[in-house]
Amino acid sequence: MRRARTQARSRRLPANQRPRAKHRHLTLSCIPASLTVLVLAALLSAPAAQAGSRLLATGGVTQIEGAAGGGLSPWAVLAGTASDGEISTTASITQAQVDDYSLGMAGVAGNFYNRLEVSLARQRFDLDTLGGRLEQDIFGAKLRLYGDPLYNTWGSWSLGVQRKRMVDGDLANALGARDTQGTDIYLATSKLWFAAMGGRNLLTNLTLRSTRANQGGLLGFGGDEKSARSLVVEGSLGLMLAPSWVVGVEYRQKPDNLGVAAESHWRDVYVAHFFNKHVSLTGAWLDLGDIAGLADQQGGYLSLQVAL
Amino acid sequence: MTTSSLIALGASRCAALRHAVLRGTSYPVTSKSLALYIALALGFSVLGGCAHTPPPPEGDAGQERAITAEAETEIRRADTTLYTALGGKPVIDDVVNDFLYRIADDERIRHFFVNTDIDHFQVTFATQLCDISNGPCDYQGPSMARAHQHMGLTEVHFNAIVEHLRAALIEKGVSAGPRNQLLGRLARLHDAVMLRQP
Ligand code: HEM
Ligand code: HEM
Repeated sequence: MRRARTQARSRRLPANQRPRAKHRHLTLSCIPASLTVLVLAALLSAPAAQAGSRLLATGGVTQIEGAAGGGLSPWAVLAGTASDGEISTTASITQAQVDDYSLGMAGVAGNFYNRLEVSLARQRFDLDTLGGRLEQDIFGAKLRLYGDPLYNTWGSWSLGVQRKRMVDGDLANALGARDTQGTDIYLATSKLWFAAMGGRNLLTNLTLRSTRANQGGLLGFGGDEKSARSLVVEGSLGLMLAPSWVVGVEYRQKPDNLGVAAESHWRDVYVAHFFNKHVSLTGAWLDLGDIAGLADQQGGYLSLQVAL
Repeated sequence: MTTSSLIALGASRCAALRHAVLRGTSYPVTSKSLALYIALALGFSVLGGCAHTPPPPEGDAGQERAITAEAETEIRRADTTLYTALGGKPVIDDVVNDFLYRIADDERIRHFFVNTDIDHFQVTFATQLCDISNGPCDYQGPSMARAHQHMGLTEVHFNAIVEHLRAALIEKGVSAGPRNQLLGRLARLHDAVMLRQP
């Protein structure tokens, strides 16, 4: 890990010689240099310095579309640990590798007073076997409507939107997608159950999403089989196993709009480690099913988050 | 690879698969997925069922009584071994002692305690923990709403208190089970403590 970071840093120093868009796999060299520096600074800084006052890990990690959540699904909690009158920001990079594809994501999020979360993410999807690359930008906002996962009987409830725009929609159009941009709307609820399993705390999340996105938007929006919105369900569990470790599972239902490219529901099993309030690393085993005609895509996922 | 070859590949691989496995199973909110949703929702409500119902809206004093009463019945209903599991009086006293040092070191909250009789607070707080964990104590001090009224507490302060108590429990070797149970019971006092903040 440390070696990888140093490599990533030294590789970036001659900024104009940076290999651009050449390599098909997203590597750590895609991390903005600033993030690398932030990670080092955050790992070295005193555990409580500058962080918001909410408890460790209560902002979850960054999900694949840039919102605070698990790996695949947004949760009702907001990014970072800001509470009343506080602001927190997070930056994250994620790399997922399944049999025939790789997905990279870089994102930033801001949390204002633990009321509003605003996020920006860029996804880069490489078709390793088929060839080609798809990219999409996602602007997200999440409003905490009510509650707190720790202190409220009914947990915390948030309403979110994700505005997605493909960088180049040719492939999606060719597959039969109706649009190259779209908006997801979701309602999420999160609740922490103290000492729920073997004395450990259990976090439960349920998200209801209205979406037209094909493979999260990477293959466009709407299709020949269905153009309208679908209502899909996402759920996840997280068990706080040992100090600073959480393990869990996630499930994310998906629409199936394209005749030529059947789409499956997503699943994963994850482990997250919080080094301190600033740095967390999440690893997961993904089962993404069929993607763009290639069956049974499984693989690994690694996500690094820095919070200020 | 070009777009058309991707589609060709996709189409050929797909055709068989779609018929074999995917048709009818991957549409959102089909009967199968609906069942999952209902199961999840039911799971939620069953879990939620052991929690309390919202207090009747009958004014501040009524609300306070309701919140306190409901928190207490809920706590009474729970098992009686938490106090023992925590380690009884010696451990609770140690934890409270450690907790007070942490408060004193935290400039976000220490100012609340400048006029407080710390010896008195130490005893009443320990009694409260003993009582709430079904130990042989009866906390007879003011209600949580009254004890903290108009202090100007925010979530920041409440989180700080929870964090210090959690750290103190870990420091004094209380294991995850009883530690989380105790924190869970204290979390239920949140609404009462925060009831009368400006
Ligand atoms: C990916 C997300 C999360 C991770 C990795 C995580 C991790 C952890 C860990 C490792 C502990 C310490 C457990 C122990 O000391 O035995 C902990 C404690 C705690 N977590 Fe989480 N947590 C997460 C999400 C949340 C969320 C969303 C909440 C609530 C909103 C929450 C609330 C708590 C509380 C109240 C404690 C203190 C109780 C204790 O000492 O165990 N956590 N968390
Ligand atoms: C679950 C959370 C809390 C519990 C169980 C709790 C419990 C108590 C108890 C039992 C007393 C003694 C009352 C008396 O005998 O007069 C007390 C007093 C006090 N509490 Fe809390 N408390 C909580 C949260 C907080 C918070 C968040 C703060 C502020 C950071 C705070 C600040 C104080 C102060 C300053 C006093 C002393 C008031 C005085 O000088 O008489 N408490 N609390």
